[in-house]
Amino acid sequence: MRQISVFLNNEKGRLEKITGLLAEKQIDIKSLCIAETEKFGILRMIVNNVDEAVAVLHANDVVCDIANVLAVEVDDIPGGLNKVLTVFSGLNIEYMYDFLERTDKRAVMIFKFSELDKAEKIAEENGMVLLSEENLLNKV
Amino acid sequence: MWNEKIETMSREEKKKLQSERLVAQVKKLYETVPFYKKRMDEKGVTPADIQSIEDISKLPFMTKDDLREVYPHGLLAVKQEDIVEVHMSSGTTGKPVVMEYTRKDIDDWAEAVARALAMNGVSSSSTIQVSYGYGLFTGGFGIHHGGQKIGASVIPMSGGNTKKQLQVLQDFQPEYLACTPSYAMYLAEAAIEEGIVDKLNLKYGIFGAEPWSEAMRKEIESKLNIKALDIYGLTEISGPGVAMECEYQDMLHVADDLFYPEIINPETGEVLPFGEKGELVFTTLTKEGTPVLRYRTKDITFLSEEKCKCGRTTIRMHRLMGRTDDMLIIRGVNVFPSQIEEVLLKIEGVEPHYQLVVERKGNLDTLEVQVEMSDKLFSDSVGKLEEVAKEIERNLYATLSIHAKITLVEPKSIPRSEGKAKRVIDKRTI
Ligand SMILES: [Zn+2]
Repeated sequence: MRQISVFLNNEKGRLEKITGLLAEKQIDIKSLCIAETEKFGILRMIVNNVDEAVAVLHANDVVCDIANVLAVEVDDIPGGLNKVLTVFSGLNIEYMYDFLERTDKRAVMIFKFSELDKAEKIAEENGMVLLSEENLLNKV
Repeated sequence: MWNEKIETMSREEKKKLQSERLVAQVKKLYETVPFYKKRMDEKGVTPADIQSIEDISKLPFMTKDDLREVYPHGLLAVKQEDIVEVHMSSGTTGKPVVMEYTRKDIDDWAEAVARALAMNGVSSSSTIQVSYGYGLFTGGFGIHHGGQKIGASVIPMSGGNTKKQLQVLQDFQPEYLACTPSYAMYLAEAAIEEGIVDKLNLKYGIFGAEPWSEAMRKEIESKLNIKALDIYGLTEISGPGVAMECEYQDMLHVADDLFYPEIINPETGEVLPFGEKGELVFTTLTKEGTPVLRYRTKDITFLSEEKCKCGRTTIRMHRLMGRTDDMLIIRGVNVFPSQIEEVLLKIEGVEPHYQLVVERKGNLDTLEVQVEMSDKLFSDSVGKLEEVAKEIERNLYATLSIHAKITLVEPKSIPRSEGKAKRVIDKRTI
């Protein structure tokens, strides 16, 4: 699953500029989170058309990059997230955030691991459902 | 007065003395230093053309770049064995400016500083705390040599270690404090915070090596309950003591028997009359080790030959009014935007889009370097981006000895005017 990361000045109106650019191109933001520091921010988002989003951002002098993340299905019940985190307990999770839309009593969490391949393998070994860019975006 | 004869000499007599010294200096330099022979030949001037101080305008100028080019010994006009001290200018990349002093040079420099200090009452019974840096920088040693020439007690504190500075100010009761004005302000605030101002015996501050305002003077004076005086100097000429304010705090007395001042139009090089603002140029009249002829300081000021209320007849210069270039003086360190650019561009992924914001916070100069983010520099990880900022900060410190706060900003967020970015925003009010 590809995620777009965008560099933002830590000031008013910056996020709006990005969402505006994407809205103009009819690109749907499926999920986002912002990592903020005193001086700058990093906007991370899942969109329905990564390539077009990157193109429009670059065309408007926005610094952005693509990062690979895991989209993991989590049971939307007490203890659901804990179960997933227990499985990944040996790995370094750089950050995580949840997907905006939910279906069938299942939530989707986005995980950024330092070691993506290892995480993918562990997830599969433990029978976890990983969503790909296509099926996630089609599903919701 | 430390040297009443010289300091109150009539202008006519002074001119005679300056003429004798200049004629001898030029003749010697033409014969012994290839750099000067070449420069004078290029301009078609021979020592025979220099008959009096008025002829000085026939001589070529020299700039900081000239001094860098002859690094390390290209200006040396005596045998190496006659050199007793070496200083270098601070805060420059590449080759520094080197000045080498014979025993007599140190003595002349000390003479200039002694006059400057005595102008404000320093005597053999005085104590001076020198909180200028000691080292290649001329600040510490200059005041040191001059103070000792008078026979005062000199405490060579050097910069930093505020706690100890305050302790010594209390325990040794110096009447004089010599340092940069921004450090004086810092010490003043620390002293107030510790509630020890009343326990100090300070009466005068000898402050220089960076531009400062009248408002700052008033503030330091009221905070420390002292008289704050402006001292001017630069390594290229000798160091502090080239010019100094007397008790009237009305322009600085130039030691014009040792250092001859001129004001020129910085564009045409034409010498300007007294009272007209322009670039300050100095010629060393008695220096033996590394003399300079018509050195362009890039400092903007004007001169006066009016006799001062204190009785001195020396030429006086107004305190600095600006710079001919965009050089920044940050905490006594000379910084050129081009040097910062050089450091930035050595870091992979940094684009030549940056802006310098200089501010005075809590009376210390601060430098913020805003650097535009690029795809190459960018990373999804906050930690990695912070590391980029830290790397820039480290590199700037390693090459320029200045601490800068690095702010990464979005592309195009630094305003561009006529295709060229406005590089420097100086928010300090001088
Ligand atoms: Zn005076």
